[in-house]
Formats: sequence, structure tokens, C-alpha cells
Amino acid sequence: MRLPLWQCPPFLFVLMGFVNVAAMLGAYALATRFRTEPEIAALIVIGVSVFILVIGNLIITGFNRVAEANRIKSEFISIVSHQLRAPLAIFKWTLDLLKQKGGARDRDPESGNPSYLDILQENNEKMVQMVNTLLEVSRIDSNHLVLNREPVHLLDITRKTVQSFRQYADASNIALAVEAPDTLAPVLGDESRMRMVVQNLVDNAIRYSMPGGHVKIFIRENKQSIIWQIENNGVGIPPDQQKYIFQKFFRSSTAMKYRTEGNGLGLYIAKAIIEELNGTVDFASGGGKTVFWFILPVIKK
Amino acid sequence: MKKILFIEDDPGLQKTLGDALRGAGYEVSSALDGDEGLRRAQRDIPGLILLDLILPKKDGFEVLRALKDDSRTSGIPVIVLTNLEGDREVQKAMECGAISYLVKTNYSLQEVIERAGEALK
Repeated sequence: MRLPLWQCPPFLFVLMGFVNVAAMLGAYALATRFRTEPEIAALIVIGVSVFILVIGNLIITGFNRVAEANRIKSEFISIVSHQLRAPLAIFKWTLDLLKQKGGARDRDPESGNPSYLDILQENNEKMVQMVNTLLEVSRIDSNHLVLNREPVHLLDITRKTVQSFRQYADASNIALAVEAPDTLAPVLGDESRMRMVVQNLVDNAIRYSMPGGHVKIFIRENKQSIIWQIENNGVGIPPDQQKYIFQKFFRSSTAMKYRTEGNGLGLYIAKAIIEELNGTVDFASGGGKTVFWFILPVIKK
Repeated sequence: MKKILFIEDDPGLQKTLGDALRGAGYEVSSALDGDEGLRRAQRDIPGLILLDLILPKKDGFEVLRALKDDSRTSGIPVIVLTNLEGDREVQKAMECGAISYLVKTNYSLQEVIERAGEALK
């Protein structure tokens, strides 16, 4: 388990040791500078040393308690997630089986309205995704995010994502387009994580667009990196809330008006993933246009 | 007929996945704990083993190691089917010789059946 340095007790003790020695020497130097008797100087030095020792101990204990609490929290989340997944998997597969056996009969053939089983499946999938999201956030918080490093083809991922959102975009009367060169160099990343990031950005762009609006994705290669950009002319992000956009659980007021569900974790996770892959992610919103982009380094040959 | 051994302690999953695999034309035998799983593997020598990790008596890792240590069963492909998701677990399972590590909630029934079919070839 990778503990950040400030949580590592041996390091902290050594550090406190040095601070203590420095304080003792400093106190001695100051005491002799003012020409006090040696006993007073010794007392001052000892006094300062004990003081530093006590403060140091309090600080280290505090840090240790925080570290311990974090460890307990992430273990708790891990255990509960695993427990939750057990019945979720059973629901998922039993529903799959029921549908196979013709359980979607109550689906209206004309309007294409979902059947009861479809509704169950959709909601079950939401729970599955929530558990996955929780686990991911827990991993990010406890510094356990370990990503695969493999060649990832952003063009491929983008096209597939756009295809899967096509129906939703059409239903909401949003024009969805991709502008990209025919070939693009691969980036070093984690395929499934990158898919999540792209899906999240496309989902947001469509969701916070108004009917008749458009969503455009631009991808281009620029020397050592790929720049992936998505823009829409939708509801935008109020200027006073923009600095909180990537924070955990944050949902802007305009977002909440448009979509009551939503956990405010998508961008938090996306930022953590992109930055872990040595990239940058940012956005700009104003004048009726919102643009999100991320930049990732190309695989060096 | 291709034989699949499904080692999983949850009876609900045994029924659902078992039925689905049988529906797809495979013969499925089940084991509800690690010991039984190992015994059946050694007795039947199935074409594929689907292995859960959290099991009573012997856990999935112990079963996997025992399977690979036994020359009779070491050649049987093993797909780990679990809800645990940790890079350590995935690495450990792959190092112990599993051919895939699938988190149950991330795969539809059809996808699992397809993976099983591929592994049996």
C-alpha cells in the first residue's frame, strides 16, 4: 500500500528528531548570545526541547489517526461494494435470462416503450454503475488508482461512444458530430477508464444542451500530444461556480435544474484519470458556449 | 458435450448462470465450496472451470493453485468470476494461471456465455 510520505510514521519521527535538535541548538545559541548563566541556558534548551517533543507527538498522533481513518474508510467501502455487487450480479443475470425467455412481451411494439423488465434492467444497471463509481472514487481518494498503460485509440473510443449516444441525441433533438483526422496516434492509457471519461464528457455535453442545439467533438494531434475537445451551446456553467466543477459531489445549479439525478463525481474521476496519465483537463464556459477538453501525451516510439 | 465446472457458493447464481449455460448447449456441474470444486475438477476433468474467489472451505486462490499444481487439472482453462475488484487480486489470479478475470456485475449473461464458449475451443 502506497502511503504518502506525510503519513509515514518513521519519516515523521526522524523529521521531528531533526526539528528538535535544531530547536535545541537554536535555543542554546540564543541563550548564550544573551549571556545568561549556563544553568538558565540549559533550562531554556531543555524547556524548548520538551515543548517541541510534546507538540511533535501531538502532530504525529493526529496524522496517524487521519491516516488510520482513511484506511478504515477505504476498506469499508471496498467490503460494502463487494457485498452489494453479489445481489446486483444476480439481478443482472436473472433479468437477462428472463428477457431471453420472452419476458419483454409487455413492451409496446408501436411506441417502443420499455417493458417492466427493461425498467428493472435499466435501474439495476444504475446501481451497478453507482457501486463502480464509489469504488473508483475510493481508489482515487486513497491513492490506489492503478491504471493500465496500454495503447489507447481515442478515435475509436470516440466514434463508438458517439454511436451509442446517437439515439439519445436524436431523441433530444441535438446534433452530434465529430471532426477528426483519419488517423490518430495512440496515447498511453487505460482503455476502459478512457472510455468512461469520454462517455462522461459526451453525456454531459448532450444532457446540458437545449433542443435544437449542437454538440461537436474535435480531435487533433499536435506534435507530442492529442487534444480532445467537446463543445456545446447549452445551459453553460455560471461563472461563480466554475472553480468547483471538478470537485467531488459538485453539481452546478444549472446542471441540477436540468437533471435531478447525477452524483457530481464524473468530472472528479475524469480529472483524476487524465492527470494520472500525465494529461491535463480543463474547460471554458461563457457566451452561450461551453468547451471541455483534455490533452494527453502521444506514445513515444 | 463440453463440460463446464462452475465453482460458486451462491445458489442463485448457480441456477441462473447454470441454466443459461445449459441452454447454450453446455453440460454444467456445480460445486458450492472450494473443496468440492477441487474434487469435482479432479474427478470429471471439465473443459472449463468458472471460479468464484470468495468460497467456503478453500477460497478461489487456493483452489486455483491446487488445480495448477495437479498435473491432471493443470491444463484446464480457468476463468475467475468474482465481484472482488482489486489490482492485487487480478494480478494474483493471472499469476496463478487464470486466463481471465471477470467482475460479474460488468458483464451481461450473454457476454459470460460467449467468453465461456471461446475458452472451450
